[in-house]
Amino acid sequence: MEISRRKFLKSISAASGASLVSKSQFAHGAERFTGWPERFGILTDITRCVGCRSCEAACNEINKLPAPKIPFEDQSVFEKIRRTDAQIYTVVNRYPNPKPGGPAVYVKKQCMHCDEPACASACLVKAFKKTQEGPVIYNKDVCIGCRYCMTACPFYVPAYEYDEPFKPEVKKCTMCFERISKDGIPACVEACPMEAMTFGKRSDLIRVARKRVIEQPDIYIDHIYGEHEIGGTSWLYISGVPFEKIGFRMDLGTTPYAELTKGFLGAVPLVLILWPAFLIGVYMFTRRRQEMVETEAENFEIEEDQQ
Amino acid sequence: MIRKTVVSIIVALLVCLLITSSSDGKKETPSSENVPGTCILGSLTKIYEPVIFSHSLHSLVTEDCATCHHHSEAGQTPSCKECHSELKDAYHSLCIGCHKEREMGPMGCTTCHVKKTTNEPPIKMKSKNEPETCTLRRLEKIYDPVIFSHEKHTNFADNCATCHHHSPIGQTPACGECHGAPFDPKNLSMPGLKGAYHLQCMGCHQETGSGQLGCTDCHAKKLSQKTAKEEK
Repeated sequence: MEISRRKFLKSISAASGASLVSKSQFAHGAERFTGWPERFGILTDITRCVGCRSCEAACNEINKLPAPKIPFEDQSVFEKIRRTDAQIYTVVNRYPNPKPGGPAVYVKKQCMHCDEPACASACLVKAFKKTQEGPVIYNKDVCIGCRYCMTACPFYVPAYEYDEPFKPEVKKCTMCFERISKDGIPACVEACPMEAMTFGKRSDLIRVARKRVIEQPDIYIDHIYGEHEIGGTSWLYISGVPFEKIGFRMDLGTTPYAELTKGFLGAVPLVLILWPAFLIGVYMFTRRRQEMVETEAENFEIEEDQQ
Repeated sequence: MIRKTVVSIIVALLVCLLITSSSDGKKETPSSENVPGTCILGSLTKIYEPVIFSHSLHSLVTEDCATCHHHSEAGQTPSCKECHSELKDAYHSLCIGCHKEREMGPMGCTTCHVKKTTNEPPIKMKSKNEPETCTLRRLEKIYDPVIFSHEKHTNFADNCATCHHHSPIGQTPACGECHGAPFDPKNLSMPGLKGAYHLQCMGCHQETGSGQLGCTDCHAKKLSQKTAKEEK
């Protein structure tokens, strides 16, 4: 197909112009979603936790997890800092109190149910979903086992069932999604004797946390962990000792992980259209030139032969 | 000409007055400096101790001021006697009415109207109703009942309000009168009964460095539940 240079330049500039101006479907990721307003959350008051592990026991029972190697009453489990596992959705870890002579600090760790989860963003098949109620839930029927979610999560929460050969799943805390969908409360929250965790709407919990922190400044650090970290999480923490001393990452920033990648990933389809169009145009243009050169060479040879 | 000007000035002044007077009190909640912590009602002080009404406690459990300061303009909180000449009836029907409706708070007479005693101050008064021990049986199925020694604790508490907090002086409401089911969305800061017990009891034990802190110190597992391994 022959195309003049003028036509080619016109069509390329038209295509680029159109793609810049039109609000294409590729641009939808640029808007910031502040979250489902009625979403639930859980506020954990670290000053109240005494390390009884009733929460771990309740989670184990509700999710029908296998019995742990070290029983729940055994305190020797605190000698090591543990992480969540395919069979352990939540752990309580013990940290020494930075204040000399202070009691040990116990911190419960589980999925943070982020408002814009990195796992959901990284998942190729939308196996993770942030529900309107608040929990981030997993759909085992679409999961392909690539474990990008495990790479993406900044809290190292999702755990893969490496021991399961035929139907491995990615396991993590579900915030007892079935229970809270029926007006219940998560099992760990219900079990805690000290009411270290409070269950309610995230917006209400932020207010409760602020109230506690403001009314007792000698007890609490002036920070609600999870309020803004990586765009906000549904699981919030307030503490009496600095968060960095008790295993919390302070380097996460406030941008949701999804926003870091939405921009250039959203441009990929556009690039895949524009680049080939441009390169085809260049090819057609140079082919015309090539043809002209070849025709001239043929004519030159014919002339030579004739001579 | 002059009359027209004078009339228009007067009208303008009246309009300004109207506007400024009607814009008062549009706020939903009065400023915190004016809100009393307690109201002391002493009209029967010849026979009874003054009734100490905890305004701060009640403002925590009501959604807004108009729940009690009813039939008044938004944001206004007139005192009861501003409208009610028969104060006694108004008090009793509003207060006891609400207590009955919510099934919380005192409903009898002597809870609020403590008969005067001339010998001891009411705070340290040992009432006949004071229990020696309280037996808490809620977890009977798995654990032996918790035996709380009320007598021991009254010996080293300064006054009743150390444990029976947020109530009028001398009043000793049972824990369950205020602490019910946890995580009420209207009052998330109020712990449920289980949380209240543990926070209050263990909180004090931690602070004073004495008293039980472990789970099994108070909740002994029932003998039949114990395995042979546990019985050493």
